Amino acid sequence: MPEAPALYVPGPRDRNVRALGAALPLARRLPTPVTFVMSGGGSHGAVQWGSLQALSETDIRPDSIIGTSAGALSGSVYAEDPVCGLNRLSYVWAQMNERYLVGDGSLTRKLISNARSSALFDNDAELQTLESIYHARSFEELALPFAAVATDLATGRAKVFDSGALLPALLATSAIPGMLPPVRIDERWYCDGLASANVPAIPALERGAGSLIVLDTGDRDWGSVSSAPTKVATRVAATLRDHSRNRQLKEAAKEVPVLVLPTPVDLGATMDFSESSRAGAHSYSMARQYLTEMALSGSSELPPGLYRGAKS
Amino acid sequence: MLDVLQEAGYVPDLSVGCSFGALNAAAAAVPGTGQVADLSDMWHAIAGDSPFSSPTQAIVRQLGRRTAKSTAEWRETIAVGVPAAHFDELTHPVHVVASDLEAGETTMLHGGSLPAALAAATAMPLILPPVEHDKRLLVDGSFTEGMPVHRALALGARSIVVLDVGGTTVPEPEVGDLRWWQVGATAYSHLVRAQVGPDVTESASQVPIVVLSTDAGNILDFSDPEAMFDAGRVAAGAIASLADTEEAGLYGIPVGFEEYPPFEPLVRQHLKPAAMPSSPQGE
Repeated sequence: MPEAPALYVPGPRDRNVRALGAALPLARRLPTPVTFVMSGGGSHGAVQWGSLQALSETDIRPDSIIGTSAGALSGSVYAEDPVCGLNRLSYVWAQMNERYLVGDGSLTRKLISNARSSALFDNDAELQTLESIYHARSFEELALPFAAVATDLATGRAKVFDSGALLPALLATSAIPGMLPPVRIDERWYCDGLASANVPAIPALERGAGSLIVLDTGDRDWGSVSSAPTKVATRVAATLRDHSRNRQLKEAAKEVPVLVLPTPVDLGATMDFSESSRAGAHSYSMARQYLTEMALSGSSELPPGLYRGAKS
Repeated sequence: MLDVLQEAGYVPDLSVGCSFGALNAAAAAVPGTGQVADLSDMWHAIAGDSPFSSPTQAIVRQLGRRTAKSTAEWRETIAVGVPAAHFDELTHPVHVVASDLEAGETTMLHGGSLPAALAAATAMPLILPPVEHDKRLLVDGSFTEGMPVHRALALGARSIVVLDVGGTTVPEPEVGDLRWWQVGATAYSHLVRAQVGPDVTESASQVPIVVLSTDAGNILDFSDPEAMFDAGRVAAGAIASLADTEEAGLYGIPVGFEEYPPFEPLVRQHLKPAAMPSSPQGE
């Protein structure tokens, strides 16, 4: 995104696209069932808001959705009601900031008062936010089959929640380690799915997906590294997540077509929500172009493989 | 583990060491250490007075940008365990795995200053600063490499013996009592460990891979080296049950991957660990 503030209006510029004047025909290229795979990434989840908008302009309709962390939150809003979920999601992202997730209070004070707790913040604020977003309280009330991926804190294994109470599972999948408290469900402790499957492509495959549409959360342009300890730690954490993502995508692409929507790389910190609208607009534009190219490049069913949009 | 293997006659032509495994691999290849490597001095030094014996203090020093003390302490500890200045002094080739911070990729170190390479391979973020090497910042190798078997394969290994210290599994009753920074460390060590499955799967179809695996508990608990040595001896004792074959595949399974589906077609043998030592030990 440009430094100087200029009104940024995304949208199709391509003549072919305008000539179509209808939903992009892409569903015929995708073996069913089609699963949307939505990865975690804090405020970078705004990227998926744009990706979902671009997907809604195609004839692709997901048969199921699986998500981790921020992707589970956005994915379940869509799964609750695919007709109005996308618009509702726009209003959620337009208002979202870190206070709706971790509440008020300075980090310094929390470091002192919560030094011995399982997290620096509690999840009261997040629970209140979730209660105001969803009408559903159980997975069964959602219109589309939906699954949320968390990590079993004791074993490190991915745990897929797809039935029963919805809000505890959403708190678990988004319990950023150290920041938000692990959640106890059925006698076990769970934290953010980022620690096992931040891009849950293999869990999606295990649930019988015929093709995957991966809505990633964008990347951060790290520039040059420094030896500042917190910078090193965040860089290392991001490296681990990238390697995990690459393995998930590589494995899944052996079995089914995996379409990875392109994402911006110029996003800031994962808890900075000030650029959400711009990030959504940017990714809408990129996803729209990618999907157009995929729709125009042929009509035959896609064989297994990784179909990756270029990064910008 | 190393002493059991050496007593059983397994002497490597080549070692690949990642993170603290690099320290052990190098220490075992220092000339004049006798028939059986004794790494106990090094591990008692780590437990006694090093950045890892009091990680909280080391983290506070790091955050305050007072890294000189930690760095000096750690170099001294490395010198106790590995009294050699260069790779070419070692009795057999040792390759050290580190992570290039900027590229987010593995870097293999094999020449030049051995202490510098070992410091890089063990530079755990927040506890020790990255080590500058050829104008690149390097950190602990385990962040880009789960179990570096394919590195050994690329270096020409025809059979591989893995000395695996496990990941971080938290005993069930303690999970609810973890503090915020322990939750963070545990979550990310799960990601480190998860790399093992795909890494081993790729190589096990090409050569026999023997996995001697022990779950040594919390990877940041250096307090009881003797218990660790015992756990390692039990795990390494499994080598005695190894079948006499050269068929590619997996002989033994890394801890935590007992139900990992991609391993199923590769497993040739489940190794039997040796009996526990008679004196009762904890975890």
